[in-house]
Amino acid sequence: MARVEALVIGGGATGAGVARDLALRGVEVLLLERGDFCNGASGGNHGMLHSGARYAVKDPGSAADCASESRVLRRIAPYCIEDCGGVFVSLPEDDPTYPDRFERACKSTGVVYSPLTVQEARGIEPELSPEIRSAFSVNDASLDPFALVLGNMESARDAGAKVLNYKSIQSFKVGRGSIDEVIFRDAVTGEADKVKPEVVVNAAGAWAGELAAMARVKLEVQVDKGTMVVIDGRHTRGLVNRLRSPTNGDIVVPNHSSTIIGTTSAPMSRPGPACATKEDVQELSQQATRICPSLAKGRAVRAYAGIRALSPAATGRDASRGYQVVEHSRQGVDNLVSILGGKLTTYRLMAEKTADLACLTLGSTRSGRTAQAPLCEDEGEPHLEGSLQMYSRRIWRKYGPGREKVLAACAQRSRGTEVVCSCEQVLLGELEHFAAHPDVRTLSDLTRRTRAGMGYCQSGMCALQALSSLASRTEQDPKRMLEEFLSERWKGLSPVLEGDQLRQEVLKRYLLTGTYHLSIREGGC
Amino acid sequence: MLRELPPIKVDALVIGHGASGLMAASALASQNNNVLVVGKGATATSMSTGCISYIRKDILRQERGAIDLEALARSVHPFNDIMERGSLALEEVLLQVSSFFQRSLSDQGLEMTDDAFHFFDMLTNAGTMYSCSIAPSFTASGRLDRLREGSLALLGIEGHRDLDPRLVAAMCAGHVDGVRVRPYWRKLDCMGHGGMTATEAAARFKNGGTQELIKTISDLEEDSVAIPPLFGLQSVHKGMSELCSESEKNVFELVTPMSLPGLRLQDAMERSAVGHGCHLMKNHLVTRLEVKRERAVSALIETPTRRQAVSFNSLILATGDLVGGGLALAGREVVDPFSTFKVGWFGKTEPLPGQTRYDAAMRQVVEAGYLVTHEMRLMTKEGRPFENAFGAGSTLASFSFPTGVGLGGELLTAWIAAEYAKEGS
Repeated sequence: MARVEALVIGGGATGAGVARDLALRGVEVLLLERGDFCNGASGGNHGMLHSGARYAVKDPGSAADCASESRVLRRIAPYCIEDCGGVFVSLPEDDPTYPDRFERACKSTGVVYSPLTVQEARGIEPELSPEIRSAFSVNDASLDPFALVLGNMESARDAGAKVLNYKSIQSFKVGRGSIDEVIFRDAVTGEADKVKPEVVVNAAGAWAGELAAMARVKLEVQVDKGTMVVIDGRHTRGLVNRLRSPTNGDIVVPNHSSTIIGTTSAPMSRPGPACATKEDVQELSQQATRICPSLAKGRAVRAYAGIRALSPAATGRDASRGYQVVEHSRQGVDNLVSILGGKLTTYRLMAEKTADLACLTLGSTRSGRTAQAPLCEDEGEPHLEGSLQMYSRRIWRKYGPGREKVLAACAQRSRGTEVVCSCEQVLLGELEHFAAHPDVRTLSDLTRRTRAGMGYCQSGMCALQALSSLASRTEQDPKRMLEEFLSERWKGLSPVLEGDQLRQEVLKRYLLTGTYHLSIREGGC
Repeated sequence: MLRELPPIKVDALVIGHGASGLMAASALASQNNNVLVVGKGATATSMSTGCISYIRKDILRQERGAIDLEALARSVHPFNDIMERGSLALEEVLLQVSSFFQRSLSDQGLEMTDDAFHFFDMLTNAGTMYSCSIAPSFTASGRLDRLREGSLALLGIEGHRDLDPRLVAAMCAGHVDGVRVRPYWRKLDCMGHGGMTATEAAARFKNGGTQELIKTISDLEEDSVAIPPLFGLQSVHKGMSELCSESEKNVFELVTPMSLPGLRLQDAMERSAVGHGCHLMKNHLVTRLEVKRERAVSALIETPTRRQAVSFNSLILATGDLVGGGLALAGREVVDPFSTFKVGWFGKTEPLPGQTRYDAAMRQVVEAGYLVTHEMRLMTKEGRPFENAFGAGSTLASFSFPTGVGLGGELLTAWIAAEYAKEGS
């Protein structure tokens, strides 16, 4: 039976970070994720690299962590960060004492900021409401979570880790105070396998409590749903935050070709599928257009929800965005380490602390290197043949450490540089490269990696091209694959569709469902 | 500045120049009515597969066998109800429609074919091929019959996106018994570099240009070769027969939507309507309809530079469904852009079991349209039938493609509308 030093469970940012960290320390690692990577909160957030300012007043610990970690990430993962800066602005109805508290808190937590006049703020962000009162500029940035997580996976693999998706944990065999054996199953083929780990890291996010329970350990997790709306086009130069105590609809993040409005916060009784509702969308749009009126004219492309695990002391907005690393020896399992809470921005720090504890369990004293070792160096512009040159920057931004392989696929494959998703300018070579990748099982997996189908049409003809690339490789029924994919897209579309956009969606459905005789589930959650 | 043209008077004004508009116009014009057809842009017909779903060979060949009327009535809901209460006999109407249509099209070089083989049905489910009753005659049964056993090459042409052979092959896998389907991608010099639309591709093969294609087809191992639609109405017969005879293989088209077959049908129907004496004005928008009680009396038609008033004895509204712009959307509610007629849908307003409220709203969008009497008379907002205004085709409630009926239904309702409209003329 396979033995492994460390088993990491969970393929979000934290799990990926832990796997990479341990692998760089020379630990033998296996990471298992039950769905595709970025399944939970890592795939359902607004893609923000926090300067810390948002938490400065209420949660100084998280603010300080964000402030220092955002500097580290700019250094080690520049490919997936768009350093566009950010502003905080208040409106007449906001608490007039908040700006002073904000300034004091930023000072004391080490968050870099500078006060702006209203004129200066509107000079930086011309689309800001003319009603704004006070403003500060901060070092927020836009961060592509998919690129970050997949880059970590890639780097972990390069360092020798074994990383598998679609593997769900079936059971733990717990004997004399430790997990001796872990049985897992392939989520698609159903094939079972087992591994004997020396230490197990529980990085299952919102599902961490359920996973711990399988090892007969009690771990309290606060599950919280957050909804975001994607608006077509970039409406702001950088991030725009509402200068008030964090609440719904007070963050606007430019991201690739769109703008993301975040977020809501609603406690859930247990982790499960999360869907955006029409009410969430209305609330977010209403709030965000107060800060940035032009968003009202933008086309809402999609709404999505993520579920995050918060520290259990308080709920919703009051819960700390801090993290907790827990070891369970007092509960009778001494080789299990759980990591809870935190932010995408602090994933590396959380991973490092978790890896420290895991190493302690392994009796190893090797220290982490992730604060120094870059995920991917910016090697500047490569010189490429023909039209590929034009796409190389975009490909670097999306794939970071994986760029060379993708560029090679585009250059070598027939029609590799043909654009197949015009919304997101995705090339056939990118699709074909990932369609041939063993991690990719579904069309959504392809979308997550390449962004094909994420644009304003939410998968028209590119879905067929993706299916064509994938269908020849998998054993699955292509019709079902397409149905699953369109149903997933539909989940995000249904809360935002109205007017002409609805008309266009009907046309798209005519073409896809009519041609292929599909039935799309319209339920959502 | 809009130039005002002097007002004109016609027997019938048809709004919409898709399948149902042209059918109604042709039917009226063939009986010596003075008909004006006005259309604003691309029609759904030109984007269709050019296939007719309900006026099928079992009806067309009625002299050779009995029509399964019961099955037909089931399939053409809501016509069974219309027919029951109307004064027209279903089988008689169907026969008239199909023979008129067949005659009109064969004058323009398109023929109904008889290709609804089992094999075709399978491929229909599989992907880009449809079971068609209308296509150029070279796809005649003899060639396809041999396919039921054997092997078929799916030939995709680089830069031409209408046929993705890998996808169709994958869709066929496990569905088509006894036939080995093999995908090929080939590059043709005459296609140049990069992607192109079907129409652009057709231009390459307008005057010959097929030698390279013949060579490519001849070099394939299989005896039967399916290709994407490559020829327009004018060159399709010549082109396809050349491919077949010179490559000595069974070559046929896979029919795809948003491609040439729909354009060919559109082209043939337009020619047929003009041949029957209709006056066809494309790229014209109807900006106003004048109505007096239950009578429509005149319309204002516009281009960006000109405007003209048209008065008429009868009006046929064949504007297509929501997608085609024949209806408008206010939020998620379907509304009449003319604010004149009654819009509704035949579906239930409450969600079906297992559906959310949103599903019901989506269904409403798909199924909503103009409400008509069994004589295809449009209704006033208050629900009173119009004396001289009729609706036809997918602009009618419960008529959109995924849920309603296809081209066959378009023709049938257009025919009925024309039958009653001519009484007013």
